[in-house]
Amino acid sequence: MNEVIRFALLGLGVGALYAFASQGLIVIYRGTGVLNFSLGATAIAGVFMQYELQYEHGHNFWVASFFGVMLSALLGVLTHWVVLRPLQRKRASTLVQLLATLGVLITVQAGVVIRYGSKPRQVPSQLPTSRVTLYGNVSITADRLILLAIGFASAFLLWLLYRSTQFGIQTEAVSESERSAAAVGVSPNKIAVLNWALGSSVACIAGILTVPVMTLQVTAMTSLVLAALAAALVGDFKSFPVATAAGYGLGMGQTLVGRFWHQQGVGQSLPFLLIIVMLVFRGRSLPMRDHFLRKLPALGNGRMSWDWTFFLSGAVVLLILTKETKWIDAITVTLCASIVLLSIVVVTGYAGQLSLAQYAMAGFGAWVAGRLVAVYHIPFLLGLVAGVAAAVPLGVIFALPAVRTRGINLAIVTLGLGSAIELMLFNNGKYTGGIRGTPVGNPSLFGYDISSIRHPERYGIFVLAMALLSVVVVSNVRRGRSGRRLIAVRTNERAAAALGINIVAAKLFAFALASAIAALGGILLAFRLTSISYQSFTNFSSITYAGMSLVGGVGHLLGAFVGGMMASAGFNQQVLESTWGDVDAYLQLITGIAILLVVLYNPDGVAAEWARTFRYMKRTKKFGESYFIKLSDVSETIDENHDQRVEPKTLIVNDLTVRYGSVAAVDQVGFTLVPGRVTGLIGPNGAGKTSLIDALTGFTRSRGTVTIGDVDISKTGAAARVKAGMARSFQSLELFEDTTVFENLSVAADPKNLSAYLRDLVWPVIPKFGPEVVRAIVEFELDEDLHREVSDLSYGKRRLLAIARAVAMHPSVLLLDEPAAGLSSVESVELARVVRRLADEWGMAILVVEHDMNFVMGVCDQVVVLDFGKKIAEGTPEQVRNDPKVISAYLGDKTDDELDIVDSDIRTPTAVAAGR
Amino acid sequence: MSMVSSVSSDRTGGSADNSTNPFAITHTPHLLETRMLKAGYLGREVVSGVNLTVRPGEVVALLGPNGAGKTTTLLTLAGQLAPVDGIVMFSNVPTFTPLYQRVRQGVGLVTEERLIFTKMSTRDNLRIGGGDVDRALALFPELEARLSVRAGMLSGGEQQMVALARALSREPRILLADELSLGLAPMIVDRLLGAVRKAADELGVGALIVEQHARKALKCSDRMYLHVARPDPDGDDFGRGTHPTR
Repeated sequence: MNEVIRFALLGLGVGALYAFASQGLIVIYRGTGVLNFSLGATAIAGVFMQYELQYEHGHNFWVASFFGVMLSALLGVLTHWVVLRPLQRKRASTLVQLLATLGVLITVQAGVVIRYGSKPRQVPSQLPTSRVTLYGNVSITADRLILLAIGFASAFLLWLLYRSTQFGIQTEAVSESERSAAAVGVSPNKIAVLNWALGSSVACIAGILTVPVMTLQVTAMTSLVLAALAAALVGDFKSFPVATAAGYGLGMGQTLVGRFWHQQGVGQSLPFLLIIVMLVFRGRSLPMRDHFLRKLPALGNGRMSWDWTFFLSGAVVLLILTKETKWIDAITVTLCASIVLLSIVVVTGYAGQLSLAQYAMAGFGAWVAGRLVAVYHIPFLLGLVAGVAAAVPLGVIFALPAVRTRGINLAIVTLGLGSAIELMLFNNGKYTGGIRGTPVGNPSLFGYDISSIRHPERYGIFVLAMALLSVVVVSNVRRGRSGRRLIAVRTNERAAAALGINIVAAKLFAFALASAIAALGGILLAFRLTSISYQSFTNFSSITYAGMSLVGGVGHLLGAFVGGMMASAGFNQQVLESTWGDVDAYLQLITGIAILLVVLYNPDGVAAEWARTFRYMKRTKKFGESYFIKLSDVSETIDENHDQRVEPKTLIVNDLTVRYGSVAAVDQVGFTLVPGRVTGLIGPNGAGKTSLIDALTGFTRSRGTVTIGDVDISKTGAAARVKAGMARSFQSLELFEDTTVFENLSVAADPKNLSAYLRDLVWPVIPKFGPEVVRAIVEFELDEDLHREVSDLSYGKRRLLAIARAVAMHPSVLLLDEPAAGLSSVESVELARVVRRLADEWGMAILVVEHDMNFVMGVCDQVVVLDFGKKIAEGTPEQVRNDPKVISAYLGDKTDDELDIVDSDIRTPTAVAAGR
Repeated sequence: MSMVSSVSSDRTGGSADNSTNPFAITHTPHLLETRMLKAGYLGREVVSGVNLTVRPGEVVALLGPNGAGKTTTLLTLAGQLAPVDGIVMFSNVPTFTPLYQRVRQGVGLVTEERLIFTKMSTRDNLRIGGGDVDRALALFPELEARLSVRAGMLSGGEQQMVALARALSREPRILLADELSLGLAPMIVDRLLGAVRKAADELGVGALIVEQHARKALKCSDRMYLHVARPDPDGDDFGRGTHPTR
């Protein structure tokens, strides 16, 4: 027992580092909403500065520390000022901001390595190291206890600072909404700068205090930030005391596990396991700030032009056949890296799931293939297939967290999982063959030697073929049904679910496919040598790869290859080396700066820029013809007499109740939606109207029964309810912003079969719209706009598109949430006509939530009024308008003068006829 | 692109007072004035040629169809967006400062997205940045019962009341209100617009309100400007609005 306590106490040293660093992370997160991966790097730069001043220039400890802390604070402020603030002004996505901090991490780390080297140094302690006996034979050096005390004192001070000072309250205000804060006279930028400086300083002080306990080394940083992240997560990125306690606990736990569990890497993996548990099982997510999630990286259209593909492949083959070995090697490495980057295009570019484990995944594939070939002596090709196949289930495991977490959280989880693989598998000599590595000999293909050592050109061409295969597969996915589903999920999960897309399946597919591709790249990379060492598959390279994919263009096929050229020992390095000699030492720095520059000036990546230019040239040549989509080209030939009526289904709601905690947002509401009739749902703000729609469509948990036709759907999820014949629109539209009108409608019109995921890999299907969809498009007058990007549409058109998308699914029951909000009077009258026609001519049962009383009174057959979640009235518009309860709760008594512009024509038969 | 055509039925505002005093050195200064303002996002201009003025004690409505750039104009006036071209002047002084500095100098901003802090109590929300709780409660007495409730738990109407009450309790000289009424029940909208009207009449606040519900906006405003969407910059189809009977 005493041994346990002794080891636990020993862990207080590293625990202090985690605790302090988590405080720094929280300070920056609270102040600016940025998850700062570069914190460790900026801190260690300060620590090295302190070390240099004190031990190499003989300055006083305090003076040296002062300048060290100042350096960290300065780097922090610069990160904010030069990198993140411009990004936030441009409304960059979470992804881009996260990668920007990773870019800072790479740059600062490279700078520190260039100046101080990467070998570890021992630093004498400034704190007393005499042993203190606690009780019996348990004793501990005094510095650990002092660190413990300082850590909690600092947590207390920070807590006090944020709780009761003006600065703290203003930080809270800025973290909620920058515009709101500015509207009460608080400068968001000043608050951000102060928090960056404070957070970076805290981290640097932590480093200075704790390096004597450990060693001063540059590369421990990424894992430091991850461990600090785990602690901060326990504190919910808010509570300093809790995070601090978690940091100490983590440090102690690590030491204990390392002592008593003789499985290598388990101890170091502890923080990641904790992160995964916190994020996945607690199901909470980091609250995202308003400037997050605004803009996603641009997407390519996934089309491959065959002439260009042949031309480029031919050029590469020519280079391989004519150049000397070092160039062939560089090209081979670039192609392998490009394959790994293609996996990031699938999972991050298309599906929008930020995975920082793709390089670790590549390593896993290589490990499986390598061990099989080395131990069981199976042929190379079989090993390759086995490695790729083995990565798929692992990818699915990696995807499981993605089902519950998203955005930054997912990035953290995947980085943690990748690190766990690295620590437990790649660093374990028992599994990897130790220092000698895994001897795999020379790969051959059906007896034909393609060894990279003896015949580099053969191996190069084989890799090129594999790269082409991967590109074709990814291109197929992008153009097919499965790709559209991934993009729907990436842009908006709620909207995707409302269109009946199985989100879990889409994510699993993305991760599985990406893992297979990454494994392919990893295997090809590893088998270049006769003996594989897995040490290079670090989590740090996973981060670098994410950065490279961003530089190339994460949404573009070509982007993977542009990014691949930046790989270590890749094409670019070869060019630099043959031009300037030894640039190896500066490669990291160049990569880091390249990432930062691209992020700042061209967040969509190099390939996106090329695509834009190319498209522009093409457009001028063809007068824009290729950028117009004709409805007749994309739809089946239409039978004029086609009956567009939907299958009539009645929706019956009984005793529906939605509770948020103790508040009943919807309280035992019941009503019936009949085919061909429009029901209005009105009530004051907060009466539970949107909650009711969410409950009906399966977005919120509810009690009570909902039946559609004869099917009870009370217990089913959103996608199943869509299948049962229900569609909805959202108050906030929830369109797929970065795609065209055509693709938005295609997602709705696509059949929802799972087999598309497999078939698209080989042969994607470009959809033809069925007659119902065409009718919907014509009804909403979108036929001229099919080629336009959603972001280019006017507000009114976007509203119409949102409704058209729901109608395109040909639902029996249509739920519209504030369809006329923000429309002008003219537009809302027009919309009222369309809604009326959907009921009269299409036979839909329609529910409309709306505040515009003209609209409600003009279009509805029946009106339900909610107040405080309860139904207070139901009847014809006339009855409801004169109901005293409704007047006092909602309408007020001055509404009569507003109702005088009701368009009474809407419901007359002549208007219906005129609309045809 | 869109143009702004001004339709003013100049009510006898502050200028009437001056006319009674022949020795008045200046006429009532414009609280807010723009000259050929061109506004938009990231080089994509949405509105151009905006010339509008707001004087003390008057409520001016800015109306127009969707996409005409009303919100863009207002955000530019508030300092959230930098003008592409042209000048924004407060009290005849060209101003280029960001939003928070304008707020300190007497600009109040209320937008449809309810500028409140959901995790703070209603009281803290009213107090932050030097607001006056008593004055805010005088405007909307119904908030008194909700003072210790977290603002996130308030209904949409109450949240907007908090935002408006806070803006007015800071005694701004000019109030910019963007779609106050979006998504709110008719009764609440009347209360909110009533409060704006009252602040103008009693405290001499100048208000510029962007509204979708033209009728309601006109009911409480003195003048209005009409934003006209102009799809083609070369076309001349910008319409002329007329002030409806009140």
